[in-house]
Amino acid sequence: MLLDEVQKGQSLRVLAVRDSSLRAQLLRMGLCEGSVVRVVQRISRGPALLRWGSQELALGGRHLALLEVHPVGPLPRR
Amino acid sequence: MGHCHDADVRPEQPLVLVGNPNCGKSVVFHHLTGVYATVSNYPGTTLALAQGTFREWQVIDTPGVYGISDFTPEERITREVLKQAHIINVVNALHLERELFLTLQLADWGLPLVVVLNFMDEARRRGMRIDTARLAEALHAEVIPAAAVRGEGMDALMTAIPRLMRTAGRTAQPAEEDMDALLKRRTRVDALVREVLIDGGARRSFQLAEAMVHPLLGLLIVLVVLFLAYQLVGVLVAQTIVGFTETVVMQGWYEPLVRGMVGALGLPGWLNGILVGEFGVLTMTVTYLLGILLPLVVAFYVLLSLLEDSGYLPRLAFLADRWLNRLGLNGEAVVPLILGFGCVTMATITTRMLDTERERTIASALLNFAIPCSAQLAVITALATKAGMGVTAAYAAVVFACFVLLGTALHRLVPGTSSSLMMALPALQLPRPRNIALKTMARTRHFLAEAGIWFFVGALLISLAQLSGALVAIQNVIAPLTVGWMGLPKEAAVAYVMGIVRRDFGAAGFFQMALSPLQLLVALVSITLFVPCIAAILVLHKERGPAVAAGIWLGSIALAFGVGGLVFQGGSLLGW
Repeated sequence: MLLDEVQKGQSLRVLAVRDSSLRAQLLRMGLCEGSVVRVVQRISRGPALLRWGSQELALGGRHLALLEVHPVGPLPRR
Repeated sequence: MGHCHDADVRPEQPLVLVGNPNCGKSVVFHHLTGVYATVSNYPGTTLALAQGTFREWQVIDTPGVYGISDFTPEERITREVLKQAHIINVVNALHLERELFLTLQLADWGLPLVVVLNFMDEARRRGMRIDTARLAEALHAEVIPAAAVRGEGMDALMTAIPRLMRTAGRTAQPAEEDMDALLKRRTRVDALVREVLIDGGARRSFQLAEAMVHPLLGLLIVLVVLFLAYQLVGVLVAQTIVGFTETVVMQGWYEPLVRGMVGALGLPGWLNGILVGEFGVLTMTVTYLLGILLPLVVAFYVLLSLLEDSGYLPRLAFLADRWLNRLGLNGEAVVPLILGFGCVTMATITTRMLDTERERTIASALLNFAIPCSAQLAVITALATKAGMGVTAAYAAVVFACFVLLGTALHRLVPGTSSSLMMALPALQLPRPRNIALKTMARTRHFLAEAGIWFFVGALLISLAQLSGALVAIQNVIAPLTVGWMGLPKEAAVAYVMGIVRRDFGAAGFFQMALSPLQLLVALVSITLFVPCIAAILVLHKERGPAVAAGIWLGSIALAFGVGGLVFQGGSLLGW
């Protein structure tokens, strides 16, 4: 599934990033294939707020549609 | 680069501060050079290089980047400077897995490097433990634990710098890196972080930070912030403080004093008029500038600094993203748009932080068409609060509607595609009074210098126009527009002439006119939408080119009179 289909509170494993520029930019921040992120907040038809490690990143809708993800069990809150 | 000697000590090589956005470079820069570069709590505050000196060395502060490549204008700027440099890499200790990516890239290029491990106070509070000795060993660089905002670690940095400058300089030839190289570096960074981060600590979660990005609670918080802002600026400062500075200090004490002194000189009547007459450069101008504008502008700047330093703006960007998408922008545009309420000219420069030309053009146009700056809002607040809540609310509604319609139109008209939001959220923090004071003072000084000059020039021109009879001629020529279409008194023309110089100056032109509530609404709406001040047009011309600048200037005249008239005609129909 794509990241723009997911809801608040879900934890997801990133499977692929479909845009090479976005992939490189996320890679530098520490987000790549295999990373697990949690959707902290989601505005419907809008951006999502992702958290992994100690970071929080707001990603707009069009970016979200470029990330292939797979749900994993909810992570403990850090 | 004409001469590329490897391993050659070059005293002229600058000391460059490099790091991720919001890692605290500008604070370190301020400590080293004494030069205040704007410090805020959102990524992308520094948009251009800032320069200063530390002892005999030139120091350069750069815009924050997550790596050196070609993704953003900031990266291209930073990349140029890095070709020959000794580097202070400022690293936010709270986000090692992100920040060390850039550090390893710099180390791979073999540039002489000192690492400032910033935010160590917060890291300790979270219970994080970092093996700095191991980190230094892995990077072949000195690592200095620091908390720059408290000055912690700055002495150690100052003793480390001469050692750094003695190491051989190199000329780096940054190669374009492919995905493979990036993936390899990511693997190395992750391994390094596992090695040096002995304890990752516990992330403090703030209920408030979560509420700020909640679709409903977030909106509630926006309303609370607006209400508090209105209480501070619209009630406390606009009414109580300005009431004192304007009527008691300036009109009660200063103006009679100056009139008496100038009168005693026995000057010819026309010169007396220019100095202390109706538009006197020594009376009206000084009263507007110091009695009315200054207290309000300072209040606005304090408010904006609080918003900037708390980390609230990026959260507002998240909430606003979906709505700004409809205007061809993304949430990031919240930053320049909000800063426009301080100074539209400065905010137009801030649009550089937006990712595409298209977004910069749309944001610049919206700023210069429909966002009133603090000085103008100051006058508007002072006038509208006298006329009551109804006028204030109607004014806000009309200007907001213009903003939305314009944005929607620009989204359709400006070619290209806008970028999607990508913004790292900083931790929420209590603003530090010292930084609020420094920032407010820097901005106020800039305001006084710029507004001061244009106010005196404007007052002089108006006085000359009045004396030569040109003012009456202009009033009569545009009377069909001002009187017939917008229902204002003939003298309103003066305000628009003044508004060509500066919009706040123009708004002040309505101060002495007796206007009905509807007339006041028409006047305030039209002067808000009227032409940007001369300084803003110069910046627009430089940033966006002559076509955009001219389009905005001429378009704003049409918009101001068009909407002003519609408000009057509509209001009359409704029987206001």
